[in-house]
Amino acid sequence: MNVVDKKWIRFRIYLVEVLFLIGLGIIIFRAYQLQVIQREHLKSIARAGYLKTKIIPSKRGTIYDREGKELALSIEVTSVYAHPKYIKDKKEAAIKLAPILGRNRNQLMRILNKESSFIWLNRKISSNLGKQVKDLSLQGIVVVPELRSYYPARETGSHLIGFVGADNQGLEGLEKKYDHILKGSPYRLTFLRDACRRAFSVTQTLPFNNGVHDLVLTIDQDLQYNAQKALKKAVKRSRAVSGQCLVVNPANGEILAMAIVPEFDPNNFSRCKPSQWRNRAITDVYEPGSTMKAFLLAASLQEKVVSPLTLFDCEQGEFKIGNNIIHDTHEAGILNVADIIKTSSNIGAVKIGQELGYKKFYEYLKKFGFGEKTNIDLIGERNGFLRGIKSIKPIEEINMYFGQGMTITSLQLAMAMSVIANGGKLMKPYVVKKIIDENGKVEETKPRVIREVISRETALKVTHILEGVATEDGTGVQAAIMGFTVAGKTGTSQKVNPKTKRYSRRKHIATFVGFVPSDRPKMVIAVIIDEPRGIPFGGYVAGPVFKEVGQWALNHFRINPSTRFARNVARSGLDKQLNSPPPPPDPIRIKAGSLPSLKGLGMREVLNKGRALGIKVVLKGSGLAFRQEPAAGSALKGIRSLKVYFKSPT
Amino acid sequence: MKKIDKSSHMKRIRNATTGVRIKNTRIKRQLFDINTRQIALAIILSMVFMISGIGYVWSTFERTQIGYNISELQKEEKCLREKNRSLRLELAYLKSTQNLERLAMEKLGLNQPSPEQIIILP
Repeated sequence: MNVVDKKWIRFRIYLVEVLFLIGLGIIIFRAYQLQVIQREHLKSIARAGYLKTKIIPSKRGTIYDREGKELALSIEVTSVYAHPKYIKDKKEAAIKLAPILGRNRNQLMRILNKESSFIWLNRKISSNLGKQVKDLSLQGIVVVPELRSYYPARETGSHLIGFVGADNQGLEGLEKKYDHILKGSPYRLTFLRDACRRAFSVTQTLPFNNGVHDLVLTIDQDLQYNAQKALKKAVKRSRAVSGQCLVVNPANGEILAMAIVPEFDPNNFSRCKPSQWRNRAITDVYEPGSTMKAFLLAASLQEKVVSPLTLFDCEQGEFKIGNNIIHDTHEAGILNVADIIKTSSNIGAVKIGQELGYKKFYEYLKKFGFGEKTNIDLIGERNGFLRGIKSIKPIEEINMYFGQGMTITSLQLAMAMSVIANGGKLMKPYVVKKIIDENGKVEETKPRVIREVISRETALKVTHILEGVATEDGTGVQAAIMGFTVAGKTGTSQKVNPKTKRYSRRKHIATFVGFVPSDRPKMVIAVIIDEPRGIPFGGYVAGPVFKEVGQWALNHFRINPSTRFARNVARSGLDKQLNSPPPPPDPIRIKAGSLPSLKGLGMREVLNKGRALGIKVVLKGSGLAFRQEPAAGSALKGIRSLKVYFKSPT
Repeated sequence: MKKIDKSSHMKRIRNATTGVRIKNTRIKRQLFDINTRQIALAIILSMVFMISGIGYVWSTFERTQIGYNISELQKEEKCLREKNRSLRLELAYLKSTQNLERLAMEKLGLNQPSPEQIIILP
């Protein structure tokens, strides 16, 4: 082999080496391009091929009552939407979908013929129907899971619980207030799938920490229902605009029931007017009227400016101060403090107030929680209004002593009455008893004392005087509950006509607030009826609601009667009741052949009785019957007409 | 007829010419000399390899199957949980106070007791 040949061979070897190196370089460059530069993009393409991610909406937390009964529960439902552009045979799709979605075929056809790229067909239908639509496997028709909140108790507690909008956001009540902890974040579930798009291995388990909490309320569903029922009846009977009934446990500030009329069904909230959604117990303010006398009394007794037996001249129902004259519905001469409260004398209240002085009264009203929010765990609470010491005029001062010229919410009234019931402590009201997270960790709300307002002795004295209100000669006799002693105060206030800026003669607010049993208070009940027609008196309109709700609740909470009277009744009737079923209720108990006593009855009842007896009844005055001609017990024979005299109970 | 072994014939000639006797036939024979023990070992090894291969394929197959099963069961679990929730809702509707009251009054003819009908036992 010569030199030239050798060189040629060497050259060829170099050439091959270089070619190989170039090839290798190209491969390395391409590998870098694919593996480093385009890495993420390519990875996502690959992932899309074998991984599928499903977004599962997280359910809202459940709301329970104090007994663990569900008040709000969210359920997975399905929604169907369409991409009209992708539907091949629109007619066929409409024919197949119409019976499942329960819609008219032509109407559906019209929707599918629209030019838009996305249309909801049916939202929040049951999962079964959703599955049926899915099984049709129509192109361009998509079924997605959504959530819907249901309220199995319907109207019961609806103002408190509120409701949830179409996109799973709380819109009212507790659903709004606690939206951040009731609503969890939706979670993504990623799984592998094969060439046939079947899922075959879930790579993640369902997370158990979505931030969803359950709420346990202080509300008792049964009591709430009965309170609403009693209130609804009273509002209907008195043809009032609205009503509120609050039941509070004075010992710890738990709200046991918060009934509002008019009601609404949160399952179909959109069918009701927004005014029906409002939780009037905290958002509406009104002039309290005579119920304030209870707090005037408490302040005066605490300051020791009067004693329960201090005498005041009630000026025979007319008292002139400056250019103004104050009237009493009940004309009276000299009365002691206890009787002033019992008969709800405005003149007496003014005189007690003058002894106390407005500055002190204002301080006590503030201490009782008026004029400021109670900070209950609900939204939309209002402050109410108290006229300050500096800006008040003398006549306004006088009016304040019987509850005019200030505004309060029903909740403030109930909490202030709780102060008297629990021995002098102002409690913070609350409706959420417990918050439970997904791991079962319980966060319990602790009762909180805001301040000591009056001493225990004063509270007992006030209680004793308020017990007189719900007796025969008090203004709140209709609130008396058999077997228990009731302490409370009636109130009838005139509403201000927004046009004339004067007190309206026709529009009133009837109130009764009290607690039972008064010797060991278990519940404070506040009843407020707005604009009752006919007799507007608090005792007459709101008293029966107090009685009905109180009676039911005492039985429900197994609270034994405290008076001997009730025990005797129970014992004497024991044998009869055990042996025979209760007799059918007899609306009119008439001793055969003689005229019954109509004393204490309302006009309607008197008319009903008259009709039942076949006698023409002539009504005189207004209020409750107190005298009749001919007198009770006279022989029915020969009586053609009956004259009944009425007077107001307060 | 006996076939003449070419290599051993050449060896013989070489030995005759050089006078040096080189004996390397044994080494050559040793190359192909596999005893039964070694054969057995080889068979065992190949079987182990085969079995483990089959085992691997089988386990992968099983894994896939179990994967399918798991996703099926998870789907079922989700369905059952949903069903449970809707049954809970139905129960809550049925147990709601207004429903119970209506049933008690209409079907059973019961009424709210009046206070004197409530007897508290000591």
